[in-house]
Amino acid sequence: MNNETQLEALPVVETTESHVVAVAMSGGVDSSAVAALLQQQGRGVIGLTMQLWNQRRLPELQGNGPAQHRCCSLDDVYDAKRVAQHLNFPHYVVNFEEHFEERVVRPFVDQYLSGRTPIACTNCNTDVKFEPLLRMARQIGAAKLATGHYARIRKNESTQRWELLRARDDSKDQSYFLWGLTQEQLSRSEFPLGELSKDEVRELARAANLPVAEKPESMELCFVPTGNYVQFIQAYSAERGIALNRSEGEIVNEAGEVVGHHNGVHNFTIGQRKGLGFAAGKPLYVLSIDAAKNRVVVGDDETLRTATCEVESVNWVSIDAPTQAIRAMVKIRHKHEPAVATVEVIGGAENNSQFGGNVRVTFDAPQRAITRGQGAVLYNEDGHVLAGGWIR
Amino acid sequence: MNLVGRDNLSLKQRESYVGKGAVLRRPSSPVVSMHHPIIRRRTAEGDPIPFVVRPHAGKRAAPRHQPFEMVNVRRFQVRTRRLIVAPILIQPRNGIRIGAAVGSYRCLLPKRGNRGGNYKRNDRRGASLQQVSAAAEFVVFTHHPPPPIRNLDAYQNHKDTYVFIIDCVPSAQTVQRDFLLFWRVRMIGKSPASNASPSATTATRVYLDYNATTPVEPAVLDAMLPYFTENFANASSIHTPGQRARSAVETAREQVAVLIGANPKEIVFTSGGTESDNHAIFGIDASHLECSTSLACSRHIITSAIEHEAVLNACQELEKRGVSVTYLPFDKNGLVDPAAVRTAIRPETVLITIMHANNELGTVQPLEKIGRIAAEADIYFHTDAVQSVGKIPVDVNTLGVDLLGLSGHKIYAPKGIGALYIRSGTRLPQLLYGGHHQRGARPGTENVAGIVGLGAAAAIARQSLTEDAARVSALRDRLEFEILARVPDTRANAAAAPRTPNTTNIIFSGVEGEALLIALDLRGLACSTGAACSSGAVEPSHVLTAIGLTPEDARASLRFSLGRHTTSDEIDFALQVVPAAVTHLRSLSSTYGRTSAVVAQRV
Repeated sequence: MNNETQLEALPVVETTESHVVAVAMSGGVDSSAVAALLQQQGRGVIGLTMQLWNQRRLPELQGNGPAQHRCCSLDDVYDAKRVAQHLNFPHYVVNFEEHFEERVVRPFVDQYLSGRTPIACTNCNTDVKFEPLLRMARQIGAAKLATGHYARIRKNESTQRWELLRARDDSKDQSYFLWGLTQEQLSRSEFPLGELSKDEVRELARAANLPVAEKPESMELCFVPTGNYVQFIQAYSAERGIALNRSEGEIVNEAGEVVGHHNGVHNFTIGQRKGLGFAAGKPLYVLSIDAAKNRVVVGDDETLRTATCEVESVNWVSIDAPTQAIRAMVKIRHKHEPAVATVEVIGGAENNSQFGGNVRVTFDAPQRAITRGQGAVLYNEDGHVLAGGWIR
Repeated sequence: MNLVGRDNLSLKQRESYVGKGAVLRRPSSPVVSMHHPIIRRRTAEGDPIPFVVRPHAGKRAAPRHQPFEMVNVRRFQVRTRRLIVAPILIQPRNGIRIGAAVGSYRCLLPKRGNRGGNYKRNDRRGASLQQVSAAAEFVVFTHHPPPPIRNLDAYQNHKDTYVFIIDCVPSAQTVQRDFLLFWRVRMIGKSPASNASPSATTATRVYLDYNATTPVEPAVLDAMLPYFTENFANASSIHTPGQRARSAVETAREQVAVLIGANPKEIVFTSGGTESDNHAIFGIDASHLECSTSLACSRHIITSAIEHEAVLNACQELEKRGVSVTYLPFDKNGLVDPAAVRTAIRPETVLITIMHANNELGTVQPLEKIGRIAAEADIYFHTDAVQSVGKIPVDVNTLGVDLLGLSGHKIYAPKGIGALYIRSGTRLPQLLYGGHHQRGARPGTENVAGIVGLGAAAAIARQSLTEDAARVSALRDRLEFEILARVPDTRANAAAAPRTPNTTNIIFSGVEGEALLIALDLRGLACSTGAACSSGAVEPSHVLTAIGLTPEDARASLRFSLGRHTTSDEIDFALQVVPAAVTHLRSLSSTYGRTSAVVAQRV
């Protein structure tokens, strides 16, 4: 054996992808804590921050709030960079502006204009974070993508299925926004905060001396930092040349009687009470919006409650599509307390058993303001996300 | 043959084993820990990096044999800050004492900027802990194990102490006639100065982004340093120190003038290329504001679609102020047609501004022809020569330009200094208002050190330009040729045009340039794609789309720009990592999973 061969024989651990994890960093405390946590576990961390929205666009929408309340702003990018520098791992900003607009912003606006009440975060997760960003992570050598979502992923060894669960900290749970993830996407994702409470995360961030440890949370939709959707839709439509139907329309009650007038259905969301533009004897709520007829239907609180809804584009997450009706806890909006319901598959999944099917949800007790365009997420009692889809 | 634990062996005895090719290992040796996932090898392609530790020429070095001939040493990198694996070399004969990572032990750190394994001996005090932890790797000379560290807590509690040895002589291997030991070193706490990041620091780092910026030449730095300290005076002051500073500024002015064939009086120092270009464009426009009739007030500027933002955005701002601007188109080689310039000229044209060399493609525009056209039409002619000065010969009279902007940090001077050439007789109002510095053309206390640096860099550039260009273009050509040969579906952009010797821009079809850039950076190669916006994200290149590339091809393009210090080894390194990274990316490029459109809501 010559000397060189001996050197070759030195035990060497090859670079294995599985130890490298990309962390989607927003510049906030959660995703920064993820990076710190994974690094403490001895993982190789690469930070990625998505550039999603050009801050120079629609400047009239930026508002005057403090910078940290404007999510996705340059300050957030710099915060992410500071954290990466502090913890000493590589960090890159990746540009998904076009993709984000095409997959998230434009559909959001279109939905709104068609009388639905969309949630952009689900699309952003399914189509941006766990699509091109996950792909980018793979391309640069990371096996997995970790995010600061409060949810849990488990592999069920008996069914070989990747399961999605509510976060341990119920108050922070974000599983509602993650129902669109495929098995492939789940298998390549990590949610390290799923087992932690917000306080523990802050504590972790403080212990790691993260420069963002005390940063307040951003609650609003990132591209509508002011939280004023109507204003955003007007400005965006003006910029993109989308004609808004501002012509006067009717506000009717359930009986079809005209009770008032409005100047554009995009000004309304289902369940809305205030700002109907006319006085009524008792509180009235928006029951439904018919964009085609330019009509808003209102009624009292009782009529706002319904027991059934249909859900489309259903993604079965922790279980296969069931062949018969199942019982589940169904959540119909972010702040909704899941309610017991019976769920049956009603077809619609022509060529794909996992996606695109429709279900009918029948609640045991009527639920208030079941809103078209929102997600309906099915949980079991252990907190597994069974499936999710869009309320139609 | 197990020698570990037998430290009582004499060197001679050890050597005799070595000579027989013994593998020295202790059964419970921490070498096993090399298998630990925390440690991983970071070499370019998983191959050992060959390097040679040069013979130490110190007095105590034994003269009779060559001490440190070492090849194929593997470099180990730390995956987290908790572990450092340091290769330790025993040099058996010259009796160098224990070197280790702690306290007063001796330790060799890689020389700054050196990738060849040339180590700087830190003989006097041993390397500081900070230095050690900042180094990605280091070599320690030893022939005894270091004493065990007894009080670990003492180290843990010491703020600046984070490196200590917890195991010694884990393994020994022979390298020719020397021992190679691997020491396991643990690092506690975290150093603010530490650069030893898991994957940001690779053993090898090659910089092929000299069009973005260049390092300050050591000679330039040396020339500058006195002007920060002892010669700090204001160049406008009357006293002797001030006069000294003034004379340094004027020398530099001359050096810059000589580089571009100008008269020193025609050079104005600025804060850089952007200011120079802005001054020229807004200045010429402003000089045509005073007019007798409103008709004569209409102004027109001719520029090109592939200008740098310093010119492009200045022109767009003028458009907002009512100036009409013609953006000349390009052929696929990124060249502007002089005839198109002639056609674009109108009676109210006040300025033609065409860049000399393009930053992304390296294409060199036919400025001489355009200069003649501008002269015939009696129109001011400005060029942004930031990317050409120092790389190719630039002579303001040959080119026929009236205004020329250049930047220090592209020619091995520091950032924050640049110059504007203003042909004498050009009426150019000032951009800034202030004191009488630089004949009032550019008020503001002169950045004496920066100016001296720019002058020194210009002098060096003038001297070495021909030689540099020949060497660099040979390296560039090899890089380009080899990449095109080794990587399928690649194409060089604007390769048929005259280009600066250092630049190549290559389309890697089907690859996302952004991902390739990051993948290469993680492998230790720095290059560039398109233009970066303030957040550091990649933006689509207006240059590449202007020369007719599809958005896909523009996104798949990468720029490699070489510099004066680029070596053949670095090109070899690039040729090693680029094909591998492209292959990896292409193997992943088919989007896995379903197309997410399925989840899109039905409207």
